[in-house]
Amino acid sequence: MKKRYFLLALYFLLLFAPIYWMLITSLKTDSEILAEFTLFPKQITFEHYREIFGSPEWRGSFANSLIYVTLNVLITLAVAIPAAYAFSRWSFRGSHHLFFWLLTNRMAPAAVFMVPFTELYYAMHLFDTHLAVALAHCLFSIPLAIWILEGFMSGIPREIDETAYIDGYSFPRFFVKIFFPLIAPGVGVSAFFCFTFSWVELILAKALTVTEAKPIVVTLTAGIGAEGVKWGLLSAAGVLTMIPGALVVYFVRNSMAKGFSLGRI
Amino acid sequence: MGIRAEHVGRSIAGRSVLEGVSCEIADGDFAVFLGPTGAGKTSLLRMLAGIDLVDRGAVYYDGQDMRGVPVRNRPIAMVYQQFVNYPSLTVFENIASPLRAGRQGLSAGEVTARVHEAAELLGLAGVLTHRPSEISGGQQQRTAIARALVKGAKYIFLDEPLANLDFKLREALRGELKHLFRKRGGAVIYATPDPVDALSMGTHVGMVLDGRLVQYGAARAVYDAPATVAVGEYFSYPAMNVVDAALDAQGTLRLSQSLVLHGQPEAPPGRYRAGFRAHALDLVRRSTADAALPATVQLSEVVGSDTEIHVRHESLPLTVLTEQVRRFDAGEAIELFLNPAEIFLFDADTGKLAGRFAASMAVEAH
Repeated sequence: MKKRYFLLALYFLLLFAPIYWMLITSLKTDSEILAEFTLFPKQITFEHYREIFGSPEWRGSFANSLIYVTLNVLITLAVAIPAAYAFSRWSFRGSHHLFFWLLTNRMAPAAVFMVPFTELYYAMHLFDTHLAVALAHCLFSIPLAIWILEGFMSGIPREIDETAYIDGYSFPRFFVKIFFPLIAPGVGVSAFFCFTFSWVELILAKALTVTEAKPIVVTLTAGIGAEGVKWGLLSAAGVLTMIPGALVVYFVRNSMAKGFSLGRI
Repeated sequence: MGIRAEHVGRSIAGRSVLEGVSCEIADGDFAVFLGPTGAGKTSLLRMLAGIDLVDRGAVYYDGQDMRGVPVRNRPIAMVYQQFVNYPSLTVFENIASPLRAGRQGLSAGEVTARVHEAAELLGLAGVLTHRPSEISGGQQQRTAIARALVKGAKYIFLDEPLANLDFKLREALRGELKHLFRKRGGAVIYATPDPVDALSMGTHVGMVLDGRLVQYGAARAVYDAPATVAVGEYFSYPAMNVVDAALDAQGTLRLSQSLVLHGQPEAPPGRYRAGFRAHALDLVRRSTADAALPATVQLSEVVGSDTEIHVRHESLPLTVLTEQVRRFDAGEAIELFLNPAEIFLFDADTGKLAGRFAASMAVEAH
């Protein structure tokens, strides 16, 4: 093995160690976890997974998270795509300031918004609903999505728009048939960033829900029962929580680099 | 019938980019707007096409005021300098786009037939299933031209369509463009910084300088009577020689200490800037009216079957274009002959054309 691969291999080892540990712990029996240190389960068991899928609380939490994350992604894209198009194609009074101001939203920690959101949602009877969490997360995901999409859209020459109009396209048809396929990678990457943010965000999700929309991350942190920490169960839930993220990453992997630079490559 | 522009102007961020442009482009014309980069050619084209709004003045198509008519309802097509095609569609779909997007209601068979016809004409038949990114720059621009052709638009706008192509392709496509658009009923409006484009393709030439249409007319007329010294200098290849000169009441034009010509000038006596193109000078005497002048070679270069010689006559730098292939050494003394009939007299202050120095009598050089 060449020298330069050595450090890389070491890095990946360190990176994957906790994930591997979580995976094998989720497949071990409780007695094995507590009794000894093993690098591979002596006896593979799926009892923890069975327990999760059999429990309405766990199932409900997963469903809640998926619902508000999906809502968040849909609302974000519905708002960010037109906004990004406006920012990339037109210059209006204060457009540059507005554009920058959007990103400053992300500089405030989520905890700052905990109190106002809780009070507002109580007043509007949104508290403990999926929409409440989705909207709260939009505060962070919409600016980011606009920035990413604007970068992607500005990479497409304006002459494409003009040519389409000259060809006789109406704006909606041009947008769907010509423009959207060109920014599809950007949309995928934006959706990915919204998804990951919303999926792992804990503070707002915990503050704005009680039981009806209790997300998986909250259930995960409450996995300590009377009999002590349920290591196996928590590991299994952790593995399941990672799967949606991994799937989304797989689909947008080719556009990720561009997305991290906010579409500006 | 055709396109008529009346006092058209446009400002961007309070700065005027084009002012007071009036011209009339008749059906059947191949109008070339010539000018250096940044002069406003592209702005003019975009306003005539309706892609950009006209801030001042008006544009008429066939006598109808086009202000407020959106681009998609205009009988136009456009080809840009940067090969603009839809990256996600195949070449076939790109060419078919205007037939499908418009409300022409063509059957699928008709669309296919028309696309194949245009593709055949432009040599794209072999790449119809490719995407624009998979074909060469020349083919990409041909695709854009095919899309413009297939629409059957009355007015076709071409904004420096050959600028991003290599020399060979440019030569080939230049010849083709002329033929492609000749048979059509409408007009072609073409912007270019290249005087050769204007000379070889244009029936009409408009000279755009510093946001103004300085001169517009039949290509030959503009070439034979450039309105200003700037037009003459730009609309020449190679550039025009411009020399300060004095004309007296007897019709004697003094260009230098030794170069004094007698003629029948169209202009009154006074101080002028005399302009004559490089091919007005030659190494051989072509007529008895030619004036001889001594010169020293500074640099010479063979351009194909012509030779471009940069010389110094007294202290004046001059450029000569001769239809011979000859090598000269720097510092070599040669004799040149100037055809007085090809001298333009431009006003020394305003630069406007005052008239030709149409010498017809014998000319003596001291």
